This record gives sequence, C-alpha cells and structure tokens, in this order.
Amino acid sequence: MNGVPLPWLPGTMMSLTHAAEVVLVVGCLLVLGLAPRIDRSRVIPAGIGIGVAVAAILLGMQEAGLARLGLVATGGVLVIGMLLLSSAELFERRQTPEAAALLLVGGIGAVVLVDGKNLLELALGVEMLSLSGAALVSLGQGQRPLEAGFKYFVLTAVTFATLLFGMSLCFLATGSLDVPALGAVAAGMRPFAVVGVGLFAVGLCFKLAVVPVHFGALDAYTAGPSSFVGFIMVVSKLGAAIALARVVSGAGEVLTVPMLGIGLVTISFAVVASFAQTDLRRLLAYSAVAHAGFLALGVASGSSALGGSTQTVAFYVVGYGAAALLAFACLAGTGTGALPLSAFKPGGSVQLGPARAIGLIVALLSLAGVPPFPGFWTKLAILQAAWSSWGAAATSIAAVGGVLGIVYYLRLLPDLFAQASETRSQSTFGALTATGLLLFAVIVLSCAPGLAWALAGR
Amino acid sequence: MTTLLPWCFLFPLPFLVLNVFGFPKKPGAASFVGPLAILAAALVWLLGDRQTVSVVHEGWIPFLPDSAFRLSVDGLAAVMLAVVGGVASCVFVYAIAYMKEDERAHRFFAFLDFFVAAMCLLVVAGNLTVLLAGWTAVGIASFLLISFWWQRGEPLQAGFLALGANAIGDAALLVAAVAMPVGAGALDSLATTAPHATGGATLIALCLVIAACAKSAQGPLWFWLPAAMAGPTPVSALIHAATMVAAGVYLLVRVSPLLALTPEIMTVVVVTGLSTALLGGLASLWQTNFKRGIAYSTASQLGWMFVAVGVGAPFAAFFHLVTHAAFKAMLFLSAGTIIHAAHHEEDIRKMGGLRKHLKGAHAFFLIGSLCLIGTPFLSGSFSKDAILEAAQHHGAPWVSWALMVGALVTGAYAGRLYFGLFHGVEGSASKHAHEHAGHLGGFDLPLIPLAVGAVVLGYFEAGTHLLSTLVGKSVLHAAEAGAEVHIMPTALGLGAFALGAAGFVVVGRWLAQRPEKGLPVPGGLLAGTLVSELKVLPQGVAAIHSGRVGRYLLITMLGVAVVGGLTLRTPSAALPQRAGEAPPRPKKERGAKDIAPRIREGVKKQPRIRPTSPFGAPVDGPPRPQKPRPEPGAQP
Repeated sequence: MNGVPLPWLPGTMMSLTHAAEVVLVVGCLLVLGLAPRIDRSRVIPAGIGIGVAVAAILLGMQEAGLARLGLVATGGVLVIGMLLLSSAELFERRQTPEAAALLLVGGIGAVVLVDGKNLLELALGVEMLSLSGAALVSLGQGQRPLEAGFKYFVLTAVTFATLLFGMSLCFLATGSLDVPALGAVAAGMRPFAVVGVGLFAVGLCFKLAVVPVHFGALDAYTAGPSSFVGFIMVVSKLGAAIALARVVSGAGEVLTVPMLGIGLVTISFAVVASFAQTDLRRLLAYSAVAHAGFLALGVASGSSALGGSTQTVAFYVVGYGAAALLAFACLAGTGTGALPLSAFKPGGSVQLGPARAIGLIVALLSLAGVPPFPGFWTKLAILQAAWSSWGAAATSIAAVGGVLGIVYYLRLLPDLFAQASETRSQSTFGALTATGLLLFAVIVLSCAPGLAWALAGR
Repeated sequence: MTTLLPWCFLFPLPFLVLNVFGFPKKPGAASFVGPLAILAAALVWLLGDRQTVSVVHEGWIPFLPDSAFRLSVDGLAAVMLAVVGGVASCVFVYAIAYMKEDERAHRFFAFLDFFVAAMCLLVVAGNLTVLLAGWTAVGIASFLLISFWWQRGEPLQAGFLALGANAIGDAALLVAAVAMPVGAGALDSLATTAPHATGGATLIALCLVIAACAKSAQGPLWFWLPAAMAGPTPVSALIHAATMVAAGVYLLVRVSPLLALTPEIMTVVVVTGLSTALLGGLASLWQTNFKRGIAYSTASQLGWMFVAVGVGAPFAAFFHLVTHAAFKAMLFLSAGTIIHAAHHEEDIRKMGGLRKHLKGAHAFFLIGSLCLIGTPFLSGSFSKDAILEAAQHHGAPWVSWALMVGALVTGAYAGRLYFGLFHGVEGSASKHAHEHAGHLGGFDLPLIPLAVGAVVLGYFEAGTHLLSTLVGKSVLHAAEAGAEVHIMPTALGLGAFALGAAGFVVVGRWLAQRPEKGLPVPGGLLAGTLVSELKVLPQGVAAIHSGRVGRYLLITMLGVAVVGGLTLRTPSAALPQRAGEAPPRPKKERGAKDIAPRIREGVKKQPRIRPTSPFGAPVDGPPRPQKPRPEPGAQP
C-alpha cells in the first residue's frame, strides 16, 4: 500500500486517502480564511476547490480498489460542484466561498465514509455530509430552500441520534467499534447488539434516502438550489452505499433481510409515487429515492459468482451519479422554485438551449435505465446480484420497478427534442463545461461498462 | 460483403444525422436509401451461400452471465431483415408525400431512421443483452413516433401507454438476461443452456413469452396497440403492423426450440394467441375509428401467429408474419391515403362510397382485405392454410375449431371496414376526398411493391421452399420437418375461406350498412377507464409527503422501529442457513449448571419443555409431571 511518510513521526506512513483528506481540509480552510477577500469572485473559490479536488483525484489514482474509486469519484463530483458554483442560486451572492467550503466538507465526508473501517469514523462521515448538505440547501434563494434545509436538519438530528444509539449498543455488546467486529455481533446474536447494528444501519440509510427515512432528502432535493442538489445527492449515495455495504457484509445475515425489505419497498413506493409528479425537480428527487432502493437491494444481495456486493454497489453509484449530476448540471441556474414539466414546452418559461437539452435527454434516458446508457448496465448488475441472492420474486419486483420509470422519465422527451433544435440558452461557462464533462463521462460509461466495473473492483 | 450484414443496423444512422441537421432540404428525400440498403444486403445474403455470420466480442459486460457482445445473422434473421428493409423502404417513400406539409418532417424522418436501426439491432441480436438493447430502443422509437404530434395531448397519452406496456416486456427480458447460468445467453443455444438455469427452462421461457406478448400486443397487454394509432399513419403501417409488433413473434420463433421443452408454456402461448385472435377480432367490430379497427385486426392476426408457435409450428408463424407484413402494411397505407384525402378524418361513419374517388386506395385495400380473409391464390391464404394445417395436426381439436370461428370474425371485420369505407352512401368526409382525388400519385406508387408482395409471396414459397428450409435450419423442429406450402388450397383452407367470405360479404356488409357502421357497444371499455382509475394510487402514495415535519418524524420513527424489529426477527430464520454452521441444536443438558434453572422452574414447566428435548419425551403414556426424571449427567 502506498503512503506518505510523516517527517515528524519517523517510521510512520499516512495512507494516501488520509493525505487526500488533509489536502481537502486545507483547501476548505483556505477558502474560508480568504472568504472576506474573495467573496466578490465566483472564480477564485471555485478555482481553489477544483485545485484540491484534482489533487485528491491524483492521490486517489495511486490507491487501489475501493479507496481509488472513492477518491476519484468524490474528486470528480467536487470538480462538477465547483464548476456549477458559477450558476449557483444563492440567497446572497457573497456566500460563494462558504458554499465552496461546504462542498469540500461534503466531499471529505464522502471520502471518510468510503474509507471508514470504524463505526466512529462512519458516524463522523455521516455528520459531515448531513450538516454540509443541510447548510448548502439553506443557502438557496427564497423561503423554500430554508424550509427544506430545516426539515433536512431536524430529520438528520433524529436519524443521527438513532445511529449513535445503535453504535453505543454495538460497543456495549462487543467492546469494539471496528466494522469487522460486527461479525461477532451476528455470531453472538445478542439482542442488544443486533438491534444496535440495525439502528446504525438505519442511520446510514438516511444518507442513502430510502423509505422510511427519505423524507428529509426528498424535500431537500426538491427545493434546494439545482447547482448543489446533484452534488449532495451523489456524494451522500456514494459514501452511504459503500459504507452500508461494508457494514452489512460485516454484520452478516442480521441486516440482509431488512435491507432487502427496505430496497423492495423503496423501489415500489418511489416508482408509484413518481407517476403523480408534475414537477421535474420533485421527479428527480423521487428518482433519487428509487435508485436508493436499488442500492439497498445491492447492499442486501451480498456477493455473487460475478462480483462482490461492494463492487456492485460502487458500480451502481458511479452509473447513477454520472446521470443524476448531468441532469442537475443541465438544470443549474433554473432557480429554487417549482419547475413544472409544462414549463419545458416550446415557448415555456424554461429554455435550455441545444447542449443542455441534449444533456438532459441523455440523463433522463440513463436514469430510466435505457440501453446503452450507464443506468441500464448498473441496473443489470444489481438485478444479477439480486437474482443470485434472492431469486425470482425479488428480482421481478425490482425489474418491473426499474423499467416502469421509463414512462415518467420520458414524459419530457418530445418537449426536449423541440428545445434541442432551438438556439436560445441562458447558461454560464462553468455549467456548460460541467455538462460537457459529464456527457463525456456518460458516453464512456455507456460504451465501456466494463471499465467502471473494473474500477469498482480490486 | 455478407460479413457486413450483422452491422446493417448502422445503415440508417448517416441519414439520421443528415436529418437532424436538416439535409436534404426536401424532408426524407434520402432516408429511404437506408432501408433499401438493408434490403439489398439481406437479399445478397439470401442469394449467396447462406452461411451464418456472427460477431462476438467477449468480456464486454463482465458483470452478466453472458459477458459477450454478440450479433448473428442466420436465415431467420436475414428474411426478417428483408421484411424490415422492404416494408420500411415503401413506408419511407410513402411518408415523403404524407408528411410533406408537416413543419417538423425532418425530425419525423430522423425518428424513423432511429426506429429502423433499432429494429435491425433487435433482429441481428445474438444474445439476450443485445436483444434487450434493440427491444427497448424500438419501444422508445415507437413512443417518439406515436407521440409525434404530442402537443395535441392524446398522442402523448397513447405514447405513455405504449411505453408502459412495453416496459413490462423489458422487465421480463431483464429477468431472463440475469437468470441465465453463467456463460450462457446466446439466443441460438438457449434450448441447451437455459435448462441449467436456477429457475429452469420454464422460468426463462415464461419471461420470453411475456416479453413477446408485450411487444405483439397479446393477451392482457393488448391495450396499447389500438391507442398507438394516434401516431401518423406511416408509423402505424411500419411499426404497429409490419415490423415492431411482429418482433414478439420473431422472438418466439427464434427461441421455439426452448419453448418446445416446456409444454405448459406452449399451452400458455396457444391460449393467449387464440383469445387475442378472437377477442381482438370482435373488438374491431365496434371501432368507429377505422384505423383502430385495423389495429385490432393486427392484434388478432398476431394471435394467429402465436397459435402457430404454440402448437409447435414456427415456420407457419413466420410465414404468416412475412405475408402479413406485406398486406397489412398495404392496408394501413391505403387507409393513410384515405385519412390524408379526408383531412385527417378517421371516423368510419363519416366515410362511405369512396371507391369512386380513391381508385388506387380502393384497389389496394381490397387486395389487402382479400389476403386477410385467406382468399385462395393470394399470399394470405398460403400462410393461413399453413397455420390451420399445423393446428389440425399438432394442436388440440378445440384449437382448430376456435381458429375457424376466428376466420369468420376476420371476414366480418374486414368486410365491415371495406364496405363501410368504399361502398354505401357518401359521408361528410367523402366530399373532401373527392377534391383531392386527382393528385395522389405519390401515395399510390410505394404501395405497388407491397401489393406485388401480397400476391406473389405465396407462390414464391410454394415454388422454392426457401423459407421453410431457412427456418428449419435456424430452429430445427421435429414436428415441422416436412412442412411445405402447396399452391392448391387444402379442404381446411377452403372451409376457412368459405367462412371468411361469408363473414366478409354477409356480416361485414350488414354491419357497414347500419347507421353506426358497427356493433353498438361502447368501445375502449377497459383500457381507458382502468388506466385513469390507476392514477389514484400514485396520488395517494405521494400524498404521504405533506411537507409536515411532524408526520415525517412519526413515519421515520415507525420505520426505525420496524427495521429494528426486523433485525431482531431475522436471526432465527437466517441462522440455520449459514454455511459451515450447524442449525441450533436443541438444548443438551450436560452439567449441573445447565440443569439448575430447569430444576428451579419446578414441576409445572416440565411438560412444556419435554417434547422438544431429545431425551425428555416419554416413550409412551402421558407425561408424568409429579416425578421429574433425572436428566442424564445430572447429579442426583
């Protein structure tokens, strides 16, 4: 394993992941420290952010396995988030540096979650993600983001309390906070410890946004600034899904059945409710919940002959994340108010222009799981895992839930095709760059799904 | 040259790009070259040495049982490609005239190009993954084209209906793709690999049949096809009559060796096909929209093909698919001529007496209708005879009887449409048609190849036996080894024709002469209301999200409690299945430490524990609670 030697402690090495965390923290402090001087600029905070994010990616490339994926993916999401900062719908424009710092805090949270091998570390990651998410949502224009941010915060507090309670029960039972020690919990089957693991998992599930702990996320994703929502959604899922996969595989059978139930209920619930939605942002929020259901299913499904559960889950997050980020990058700058589907009609209030309309088409097709877009490959990977662990019934429910979404995802398609042939557009350079980068990523993932699969593996 | 054939799905793409950028100026002026090239390539293959061409790239999708990208062209695929290319060429030329006045005609042709590409991918797919890609893509193309005039509202709803129904089929295919045993998935070897799957051959066969039903509008998934008529008529002719809806039959023919292993699934296919053939035909009788009437006729004819597959006669099914593609596309396109001439009027009650004004359309419609009822010496009768014969030889007797009834119904709906449109009193819309009668050459020209096909395809097959040889080579089928088509109709075929002709002239004409020109039963009984009622469910579920934090908190805490409870319940169920660990043993009381609580519990509780203890249960007689038996190893 690679590492960075610590000059003041001879003989000790710091892992590259920790080095990347340090770099991100330094970047975060730098932005905050300079805030009074650079608060008129949108470029400098974003530039610092992109710099440290790229550094994290470079450090991550030296790592192997999940650590590499975690750093590269988080760094990539951070770059996109910083690019979108230029069109962020902030309540106060001068809060750009704070927003950049909060993005970095969220990124650090995700890295900690992906890397964490200790319940305390995981709790720290969850808290960093939650608080930065709640704050980022509240920074948006108008009353809606404030309300949504507050709800998110309250529900975070409750689920975090659950998580802490679960963690202390685990500690009570095993005398250890290491994730691998959870296996002892499963073997011992002491009720306290079992409930403890369950509660801890529920706390992590909140970041995943699965039923029944999806409420906060649903409202936050609906009302938050489009420029940030994609970021919050993706880093939360990235961190939580991989951490959850690790916890569940550590704890053994105690958690698989509940996670399977959560996954199937979430998929059915979100798909059914999505049919009633008339607002695009709300629809994408429900889509986040439905995809979280798939992630929960992947977490529950353990290893199959073709790959481990963490690999499947990480692969799914990458595919979903690229598409979801692309959707929100295309919507960046559309404010924080309602975004009814009817606004996309020709002559409606939202005119995306050709590049972003095509980006949104691709994103929606991928979210719907249409071949050959990444959403299709990742869905197949999860279904494959579900098939080998749970058999026909669970797979069928998930498959039907996975394909019915096509009806509401494609509702906008004719309107977007009409928009793609028009030339008007109101977009910033940063948002267009982000759209281009993500389109490129989605196309690469579509043509070579094996690439991301290998990246997610060892 | 023939090695290019598996890549023929790329042929329409250059024209798609041209259309996107608005070239050539006249919409669609170049697009027909794509399908024509596909037709040419397929014909070159058919005239050559007919070697199966395959493309395999291993390791493309490492997380699936079949990790390869496979394309494959055999006889079955080549004929299907020829059908797709041939019908599409005619429809493309027809659409140049039909869409002349539409301002977004370039986009229309781009969508059509996309559809042809997707359809060819579906045909040349060598494994389930690639098939799934084509399968979903044709569904999306169909949605885009049905809802091409989306701003009117109704076409968009129809498009959603089609998407939803097709999605069920996609889900079934997804399950089939992941349910394969590792290393299997190639379509031509399913019969040998699928039985090794965890769920067995039955599950995979069932999945494929569900997928086929969704695409071909069979059984409970019929409802989207009539609604799909909201799209432009060339689309109805190409996608919803000749090619895409036939994809279900094509798939079943291709996997018929697998189906032959599962008799119960074969029965499902027969019952589904028969019920759709009869009910679809009957439903056609009360459609005031004559395009929907033809759509129900398509569903009904596809039902005939399903029956043929179900009785173990894939050749008969595929032969009917080919002839049906020609004459049904022709029927639809001549209906399109009427619609165009009558200013987009599709109500049969406003038509009538059109044979004087639209002579070309009349001739084509008549040929198509005669093919439909199985008139001897037209191609429709050859393929229908093949199905009837197969049903008589291999199916249960009731299948043949039901098909005879089906022939009568076919005659009735064909006759109602023909007489209702072209004979009788002129309706209000007929007057418009009169004004347009002069300049419809662009409409009639592309129908000539289809008409030729509808007449000669049967003779071609009777003379060369090309199709039966090719199908036999692709899907070896014992039951049908010697299937041949003869020019002289069989007695069975003549009987069916007699019934069909009676239905055509007597029932159909009588219906056409009624004031409402059909059965007075309200149409759209189920589909419309059911779907609108279903909207309540999503609204109810979404209503949980009231925005009130209190409620959110309550549900969250309840959920946490449920999950906590689930974790507590799980161990007892899950533990015994853990690998390498014996199931929890019944308590063995070895030492005094273990037995002590038992003794303390006293006499009263003893009987309840006894039966579960391997040592405790008395061999005979009731338990003797008053005298606790000393446990082995216990200190007295």
